[in-house]
Amino acid sequence: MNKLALLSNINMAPAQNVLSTEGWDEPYICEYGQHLRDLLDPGSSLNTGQYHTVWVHLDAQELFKDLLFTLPDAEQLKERWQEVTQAIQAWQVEHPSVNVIVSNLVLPPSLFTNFLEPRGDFSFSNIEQQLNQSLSELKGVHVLDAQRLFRLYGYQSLCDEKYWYLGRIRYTNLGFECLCRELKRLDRAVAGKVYKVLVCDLDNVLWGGIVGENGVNGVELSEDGVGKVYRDVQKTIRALKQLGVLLTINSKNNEDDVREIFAKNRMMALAWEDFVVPHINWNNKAENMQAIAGQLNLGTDSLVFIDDSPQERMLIRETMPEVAVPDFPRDVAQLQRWLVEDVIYEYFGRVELTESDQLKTEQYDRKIKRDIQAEGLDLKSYIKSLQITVDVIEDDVSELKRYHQLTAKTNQFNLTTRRYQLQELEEFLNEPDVGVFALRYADKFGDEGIVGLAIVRYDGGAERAHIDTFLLSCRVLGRDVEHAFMDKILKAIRRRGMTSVTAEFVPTPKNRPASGFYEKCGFTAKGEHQYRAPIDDLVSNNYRLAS
Amino acid sequence: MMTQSETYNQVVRIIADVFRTTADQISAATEIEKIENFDSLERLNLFLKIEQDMRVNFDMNQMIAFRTVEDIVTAIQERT
Repeated sequence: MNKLALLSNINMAPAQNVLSTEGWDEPYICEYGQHLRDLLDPGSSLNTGQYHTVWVHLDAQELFKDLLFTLPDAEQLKERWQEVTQAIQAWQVEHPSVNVIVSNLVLPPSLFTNFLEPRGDFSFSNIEQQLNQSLSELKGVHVLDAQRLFRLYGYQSLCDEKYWYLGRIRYTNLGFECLCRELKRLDRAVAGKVYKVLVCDLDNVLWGGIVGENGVNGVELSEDGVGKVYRDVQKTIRALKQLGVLLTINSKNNEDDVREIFAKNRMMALAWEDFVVPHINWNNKAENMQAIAGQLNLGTDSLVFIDDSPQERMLIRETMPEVAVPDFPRDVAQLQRWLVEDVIYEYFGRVELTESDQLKTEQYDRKIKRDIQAEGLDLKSYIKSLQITVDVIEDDVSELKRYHQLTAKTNQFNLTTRRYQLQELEEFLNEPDVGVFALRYADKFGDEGIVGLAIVRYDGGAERAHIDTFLLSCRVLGRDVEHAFMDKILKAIRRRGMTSVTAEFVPTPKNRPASGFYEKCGFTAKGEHQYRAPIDDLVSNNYRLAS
Repeated sequence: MMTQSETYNQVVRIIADVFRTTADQISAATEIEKIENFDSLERLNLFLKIEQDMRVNFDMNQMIAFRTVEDIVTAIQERT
């Protein structure tokens, strides 16, 4: 289900086709000026439809009307704004599972207050800033930064006055396309549906020229001209690590030449250590992509591939359509802008950041070391050699963002694949009849942080607990950690006085690694994918498995 | 630069697409407001699409004044 409702105080009907092109099912656009009615009326189309995302996009001129023709009155402007934002907040509280996205306000750049604007005393734009700031204080609401789009494209290319006066249509075709594309990108980021790995070619991507022909210091990489473009590109790619993106290389080159440029060219902003599992060889690049995904234990649909060669891009698009392969700019001057706007915003959008994100590269380096250690050992010996310690914490609100990330992104070992919003998880943590369990993992290679999550609902009257969610990050699969986790959870359930436990497995194309888990734990199947067992039987069985 | 005939054919294609009708229902003398499925919003959608696809920019008074398909084609030819 990918249903969208768009509420606006202006005519957004031309957005219908653009939204459908962006993949929304049957987008609903409220009647002109009926945004408040839709929010407040229980019988409205908004409240009777079941929308995955609600986008509220208000036009500042239409919202403030005659207030823009008198000197700025902050109180009155705020009152108009709050009338809508309060309705939005109230609606969001009633519908916590819906993605609510609100565009920030954009006043026209030309106002009668002219050069008074930057002074601050008689400034609509100052008030606009304050009102937009107040959006970030709304709970459970994400902000679509329309101001950013207007800075990027310019007011005159996004708006057309004649359509406004003829039909209350504010935007040009470009305006609708930009807004709708931004919405789609933001919605994906909110849902955590982002790519995890940037796979880079090298020649004419990280530097100008071909290192094998031009030599270590003959490539274009400097603080001037074309060389500076590539240096800025490298700095941006390096910065992506802070968002939890893994960097790797897929390049047809001699590895020695590449290592040499990393070691000796002083203009390199990227270091060899910034990359995980680089593949520099003369093999087919599609084979390299498969190998990269395999070594990282990630699906190929987690990869974004940037390459200046149209032939290599075509090869990957045709043989691996699940890999994201953006077009590459022909004009090198556009390379930096393209990287940020068309690659990072498109594939690596983030609305929250955890400490765990910033340590992703180190985490995968440790994984590679563990894999090397595993070679030649049987499973039991390997697990023992890791010196694993696990800790299970219950109802700890300090890791809320990490819990949200886990429910949004975990696919393989996820028994029910329920995607919860941040607010829903917060409610679970405060709900006395719900237990939220988190698994912290460490071994001799380092601390992986929170890698597992379980949500258990208690029915005191029936003395029964139901496992709503049980998931484990793919980073720790294959080490029997899941049984240690289950062991702790079952003991907590028993301490609560429950005598039986139910659970369910919801199969998806990606969670086959989790099938059979509940049987192994000692549950008995009761109907399709439903399980049940007495608590005492489960505790003794899992204690044995976890030991 | 497009010939008058090419411009006419493209305008007719766009009209047929926007109003969900067929090209054979449209001629140079066709009045826009009499096309099946016409409404004021679709009229604006029509000009949005013509401006985008044919890379022209009409001014407001021109758009208000357009009556027939021929009016639109003539205006486009004068601008290109």
